[in-house]
Amino acid sequence: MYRLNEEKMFYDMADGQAVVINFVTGMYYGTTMLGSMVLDRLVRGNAPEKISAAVKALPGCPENFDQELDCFIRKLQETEILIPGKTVPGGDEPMDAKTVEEGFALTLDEFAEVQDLILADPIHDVDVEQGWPVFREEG
Amino acid sequence: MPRVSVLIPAWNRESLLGAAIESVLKQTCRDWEIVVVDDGSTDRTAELVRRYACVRYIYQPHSGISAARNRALKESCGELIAWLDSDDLYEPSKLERQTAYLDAHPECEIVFCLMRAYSELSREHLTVRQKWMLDPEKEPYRTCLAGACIRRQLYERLGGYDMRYPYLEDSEWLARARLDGVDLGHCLEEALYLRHVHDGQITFSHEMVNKKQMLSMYADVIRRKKKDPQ
Repeated sequence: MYRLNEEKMFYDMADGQAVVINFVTGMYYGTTMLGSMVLDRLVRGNAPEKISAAVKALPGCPENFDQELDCFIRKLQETEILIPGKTVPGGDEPMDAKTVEEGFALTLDEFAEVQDLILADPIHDVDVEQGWPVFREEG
Repeated sequence: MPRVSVLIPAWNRESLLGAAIESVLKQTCRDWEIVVVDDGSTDRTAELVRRYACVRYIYQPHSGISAARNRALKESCGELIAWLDSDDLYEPSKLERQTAYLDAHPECEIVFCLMRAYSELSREHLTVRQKWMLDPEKEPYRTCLAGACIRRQLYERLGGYDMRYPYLEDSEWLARARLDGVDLGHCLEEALYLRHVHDGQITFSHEMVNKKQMLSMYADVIRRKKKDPQ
């Protein structure tokens, strides 16, 4: 169905929060806890209808959730976070009720706060084992 | 109590550290202390530093750059912090210009300066990246912690360097500062910090691996700020 646009996007998921960084523009994107879970499954290639089934199994899910999901996917495509990809089975695994603590809204927020830092950050000339530069004359 | 703490973390830098220290001794601003944190050097870094009576030398077992920076912060006392990489130099007026700027702009918590790269190497020995660093036409890199002069209160508010990062620690700290609302736009448009470009071949991780790690670091800072907006 979809995959991450790895030409431009870096995706990271931890502690139930997804962060997407467009390393070409320096912008980054955040979403709700449910949005993070949904995005995580979309990036994996799971079909939207399977993901929707998992969310609808949670108590309190609004009837118009499919519209919410369609709108979310559209935004993810418009921002070039998602591009077409192969469908991967699954996506309907049960979700923890904590995932909807913030509600069922699927927002996509864009931020520019660290744009110049991301774009300007030079590659650090260090040895990853030592954390210090190591030069040939010392090697 | 000195006004500016010039902090120099060092590891096996006996050949270049003397020049770095002497560039501080030549500063037009005289109100400083120099603190060298030796992160477990196995060369003659200690012997070299001890030649300078005015320099405080602190040794610690090899613990990495973040630990060295945090130790330097802890051991120093100036209200202003200025970092100096052990293989780089200050222009003589760097501290004077930056302290004057901070005095004139009390709202400013950190002021940067431009950097000029220099090298003794001949062009054919330079890597592509080093040629880029030495290119006088390239857009100057303004937001580099190495050339900054920082009010200590900013470290007291944000904390020191994250020990989980054996490198990228300076970028992580700056990202945290930015997300906390610190204005990183104060920069003297003069090349007051001289970055030494070394021998052409360095032990280095592949560019893409490093880039992924850098982006992962930014994602982590962003996530932590979202989790704890205070």
